Amino acid sequence: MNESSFHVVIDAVRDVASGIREFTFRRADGQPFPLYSAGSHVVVSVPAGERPRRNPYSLLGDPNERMSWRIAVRRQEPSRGGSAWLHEQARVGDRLDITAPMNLFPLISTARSHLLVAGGIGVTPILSQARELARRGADFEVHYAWRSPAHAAYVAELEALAPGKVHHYDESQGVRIDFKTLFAGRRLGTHFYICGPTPMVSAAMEGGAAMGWPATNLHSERFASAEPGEPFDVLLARSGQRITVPADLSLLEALEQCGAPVNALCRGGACGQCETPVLSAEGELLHHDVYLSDADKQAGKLVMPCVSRFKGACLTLDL
Amino acid sequence: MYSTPVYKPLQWDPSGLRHILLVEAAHAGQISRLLDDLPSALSVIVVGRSPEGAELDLRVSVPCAVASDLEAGLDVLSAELERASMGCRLYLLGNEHLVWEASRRAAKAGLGEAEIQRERAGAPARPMFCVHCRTTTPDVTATVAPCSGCGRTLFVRDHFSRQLGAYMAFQIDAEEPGLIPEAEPFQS
Repeated sequence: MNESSFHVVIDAVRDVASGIREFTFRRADGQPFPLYSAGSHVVVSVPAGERPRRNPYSLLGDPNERMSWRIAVRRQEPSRGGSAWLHEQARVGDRLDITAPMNLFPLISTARSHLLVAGGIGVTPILSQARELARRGADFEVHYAWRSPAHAAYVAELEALAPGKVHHYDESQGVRIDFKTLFAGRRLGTHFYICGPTPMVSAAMEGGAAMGWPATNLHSERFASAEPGEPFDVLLARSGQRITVPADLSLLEALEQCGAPVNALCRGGACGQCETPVLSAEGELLHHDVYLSDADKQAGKLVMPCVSRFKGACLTLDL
Repeated sequence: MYSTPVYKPLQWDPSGLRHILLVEAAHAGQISRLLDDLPSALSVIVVGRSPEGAELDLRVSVPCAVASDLEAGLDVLSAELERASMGCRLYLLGNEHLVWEASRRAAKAGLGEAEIQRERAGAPARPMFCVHCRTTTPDVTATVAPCSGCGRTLFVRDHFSRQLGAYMAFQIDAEEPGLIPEAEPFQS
């Protein structure tokens, strides 16, 4: 195995909030992990069923702790098997494969101030960013919204590393982030980072634009998850292969199984690596990614097979 | 060359909440088109004195800060930026030296590229950075010129540094002393 992926052993499992379970990994070969930058994620191969599920999870621990890495997994409903397996089956001592870290959500080192916002499980990359900013002695604030106190993971850890800088929003008490207020009056050179549910991220981006923030200062990480769906047929124009994507497999996974030449990185519709040209679509493309622009999605000439699906007679790809 | 700056006519950016305009008085007439539709939260800084600058002062409804020279104008700009918060847009009009000195102040205050617009005015003249003595000579009008710091005869390249706000310039006759090509005036 090369350094682009690691065999790991589950070292510890604990529940950090309702429906959120934390896993600590160590390398199976006993070697230290490489350093990674705040905001990085790994793709974990989960041996659920006969085929592995590969899901992206943020590394939330301290990069300087080289012997262990931590991720937190929220149980997805419905789950294609990945998060359900991790919640129900995974035990201390089990072995998994994970990729080397990738970072699609880095801190901007030239920023004069950082405004971090987490929604629910979106706290995981924010936790690693907050830790890094505290280490640098940077000017920053964290705003963390959760459904109820039972769902609030890592509150104590966040408080400990950024005392006095964390603001909590308890949605069960009707407390929500008012983004226009949050964006108002911030010093020049502030960068904004958010990880949370799609409606929250959209509201934040709209609030930022309304308060005059340029898009260059608004950063978000939105991993879509590959959700199960209806089976559909795909024709690969170059190879002439016809495949049926079953309900519990993503289009990307189905393409990989038949050996189609498609690259992938984040597997969460965020990085753009698996972008695939569509030649024809007798039906409707179900775009679930956050990578393609609305115009691209409308045009229907491209698809991100890691999370997107199709509904109709046949989808023809330029593969 | 990739680093060579591209200038565009200034245009009010409706996504901004607050706007700062810094203009070289002698060329203030060049942006009269902008004055029919002024944004509400606007500050104007005029560098130098000229009839065009005076007319600009009359036409904008807000009081203009008139600075006698560039250094004074930059200090007014820094003070404005000190009070500003995210949502601010900066508009610069003048020769390349003014535009980039102001850009450096803005960057120091935290403004990013998406928040600054630049329009060049006046005859083509470049700020030139001597790579030998690190002196910047403003307003050089041709490709070969003496350094105001060390006196070497320099060739001005198209390679531009935003950090330094100047074009890189190096000694033209280092290999064959005295062999100095004819200076060509900058066209743009």
